[in-house]
Amino acid sequence: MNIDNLTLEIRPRNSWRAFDLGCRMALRWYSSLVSFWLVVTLPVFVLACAIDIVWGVVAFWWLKPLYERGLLHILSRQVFGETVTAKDAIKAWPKLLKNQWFASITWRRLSPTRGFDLAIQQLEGLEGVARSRRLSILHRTTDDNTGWWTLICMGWELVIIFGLVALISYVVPAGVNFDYWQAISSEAWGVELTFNIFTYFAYLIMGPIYIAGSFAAYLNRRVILEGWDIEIGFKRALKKVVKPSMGATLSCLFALVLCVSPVSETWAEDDAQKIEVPQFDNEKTSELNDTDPANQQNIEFESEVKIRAILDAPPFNGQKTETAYRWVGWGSDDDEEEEEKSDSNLPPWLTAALLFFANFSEVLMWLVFGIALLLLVYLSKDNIKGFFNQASKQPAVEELDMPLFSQAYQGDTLPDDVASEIDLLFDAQAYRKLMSLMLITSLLEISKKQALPLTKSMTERECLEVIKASVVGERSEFMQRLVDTWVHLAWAHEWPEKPTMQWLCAQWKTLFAESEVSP
Amino acid sequence: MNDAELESNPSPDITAEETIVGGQTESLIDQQTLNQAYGQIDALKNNVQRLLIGQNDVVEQVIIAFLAGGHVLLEGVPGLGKTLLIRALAKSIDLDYKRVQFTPDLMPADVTGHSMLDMATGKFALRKGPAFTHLLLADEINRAPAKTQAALLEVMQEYQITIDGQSMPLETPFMVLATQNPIDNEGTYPLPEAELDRFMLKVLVSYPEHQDEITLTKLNTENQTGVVNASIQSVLSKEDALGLKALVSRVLIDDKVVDYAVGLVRATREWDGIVHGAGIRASIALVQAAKVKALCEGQGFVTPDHIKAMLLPVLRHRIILSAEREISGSSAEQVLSEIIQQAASPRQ
Repeated sequence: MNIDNLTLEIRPRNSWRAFDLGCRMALRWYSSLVSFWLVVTLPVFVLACAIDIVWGVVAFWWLKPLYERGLLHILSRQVFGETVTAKDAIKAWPKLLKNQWFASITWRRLSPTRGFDLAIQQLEGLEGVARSRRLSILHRTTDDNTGWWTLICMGWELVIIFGLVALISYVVPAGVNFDYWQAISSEAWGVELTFNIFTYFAYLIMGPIYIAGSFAAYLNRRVILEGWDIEIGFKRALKKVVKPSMGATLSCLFALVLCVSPVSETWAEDDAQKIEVPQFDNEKTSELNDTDPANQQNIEFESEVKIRAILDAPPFNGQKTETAYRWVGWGSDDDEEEEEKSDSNLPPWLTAALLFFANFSEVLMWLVFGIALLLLVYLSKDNIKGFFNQASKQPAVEELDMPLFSQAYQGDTLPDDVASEIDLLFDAQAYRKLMSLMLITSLLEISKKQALPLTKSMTERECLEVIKASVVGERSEFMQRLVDTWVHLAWAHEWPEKPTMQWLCAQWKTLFAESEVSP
Repeated sequence: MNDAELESNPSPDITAEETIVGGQTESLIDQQTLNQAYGQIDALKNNVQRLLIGQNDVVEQVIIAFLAGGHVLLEGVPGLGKTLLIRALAKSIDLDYKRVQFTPDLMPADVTGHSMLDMATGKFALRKGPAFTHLLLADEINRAPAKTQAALLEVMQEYQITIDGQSMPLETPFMVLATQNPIDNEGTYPLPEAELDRFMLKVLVSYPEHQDEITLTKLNTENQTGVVNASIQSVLSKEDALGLKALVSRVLIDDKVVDYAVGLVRATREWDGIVHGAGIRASIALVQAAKVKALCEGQGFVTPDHIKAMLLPVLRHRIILSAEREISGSSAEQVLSEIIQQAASPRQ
């Protein structure tokens, strides 16, 4: 790889500009990229569809990283000025597959940075720990958007697929009902094949763009890390400004100046004082001049021992790692050291005041945060309770709201002996209160055996419908007549006939007096 | 036992009843008159339902509005027999009816009438519009512009038409049945609130049940078109209809029921989810419609059930839901049902 041959304008870009550059690269060499893709993938796609119309295309998609290696091969050579045709790439493709092919289609298949990482794997030939370290270095930036680039390209693939489905819906004749969901979810062979062809078309369009964008991002990262732009800039400047002969003369002069410079001696003396250089005696020095291979081997062995001895001696020895927990927050040793180091011109009282204010603000912020958190938990208590307690999600049983029908007994307690009270009211011809008493006691009695979903908003007739759904036979007939009589008294102002009231009283005693009626 | 009724005269005469109910002076309709009225209404209902199959609720509500002296706004897709309904009703009562198809170029004078210079006499002659009738079908009323819709305001509220400064009262009974289509609203003019309030009921006309549609289809295919319409016989005279309308005012309604009805209407003005509640006309219409509803059931008195039954058709077009409720997909009927569920039924 010779960066002098780069056909791109090399300069540090942000990641989005790099992806943009990648798109331009893909368009520039689109014919060779698409030709390679078609030749390599079309047979695989046809075969996959022939084997299984659904799972075949899934398998085709799963093997995409293998086809993408050919695209990267074309791009990586075209960028450095080498002309690579689709035919060359197809020839080279089998060799490209050998390196880490299994990892590419297994545990690295779903990696969102797969396009970017492919360059390290394929172009730098790194694997194992070296690959991991290299990736760690290249991804160590806040401007790493390679994962997003994968998502964007995937989104565009979906847009193309559904766009083609929508296109079909537009060209369908007006009378034909086109159901999008059916078009997507249909299991008909023809529909599945059409959908697969759309998918293949989307990959054909987006595959080269995705790999080109990822490769451009990789190049850009290396430009930033290794200063390619600076290197190229210097070289160009040198070519333009300085002639070769002048360059040589200047280089010599520069070297001469460095040789006679007193600074270099000073530095050398300085270093000599600091580092203990092991002294070799004459005998040992003569060993170095020995050309006998056997002696030379011994010398190398002894040299290794001496190097180890040097490394064990100061200042290289004594390095050890200690691990301990240390408070680094407010009031810690670090803070004090920082305070000591700080070279502030502020008066001490102002520094103290600012420090107090800062500390107070910090405590206050933590308090506010804690209170807000507690408040949030308190306000969400029902949801939290509901989350942990599934039973509480079930709707609570609504408490029955027994309508009184009459205001005669509103707030009053019912008599202990209802039957006697009924006789008394009948004799006194207090029919309104009598009927009210019979209604309430009847309802209470019925509700003991069967729940009556009555509410205050129900009218007498609505209540009767509910009651009739719960009781049958004589009780139902009695309730019907009782409610009818009550409605006529209440809303038609029709005073009930004495025989009617007599019948109702008798019936009530027959049907309900035996039971214990209590409020 | 400190019940006041024990001290009162429990004999079943009117005086006693009046004392019990707090001095109300309404008199009950005697049973014979009530039975006769019930028979007449039932015959009218059956006669119309014979042609308008599967729309019993619609027929009943239209008859209620007619006897209550109100107007009806019918909402439904085309082809559900709205014109047939008015024709059947008019023929059943032996009344005159007119149909006006509302269009964007319809002018007010096309509805009410106008003065025209008679060249022979040199005087202006009055040419009465279709509004001079007993039953006026304003078909697709929301297709006419606001000024033409407004021409109906005076007709509906004052029961008179003014042409060239001359006011002419309409014959009684008079009723407007307006229709509008819930779909295909492009190029329509939504009715203003003031005009909507003039309609006593808004009746929703929906498709008939499967069995009813079979009957309807067979009826129309086994007979020649028009034979069915021609077979409508009058079952009620105009005088009978006016007599029934007069009888409605004698239907007894307890103060607590009136209070319940007014309370429901007032609740719409303060209900969460309603930005504009129903007005006073709604209270009047609700009580009046409930009275007719009671009469239709052969009862000389109104119960809270009648109020509940008439609440939706009376109020559904008189309330405006808040944007939040509209967005959440709530309908006016749902909100009114909430109000009914929350309001305590009156008790004696």
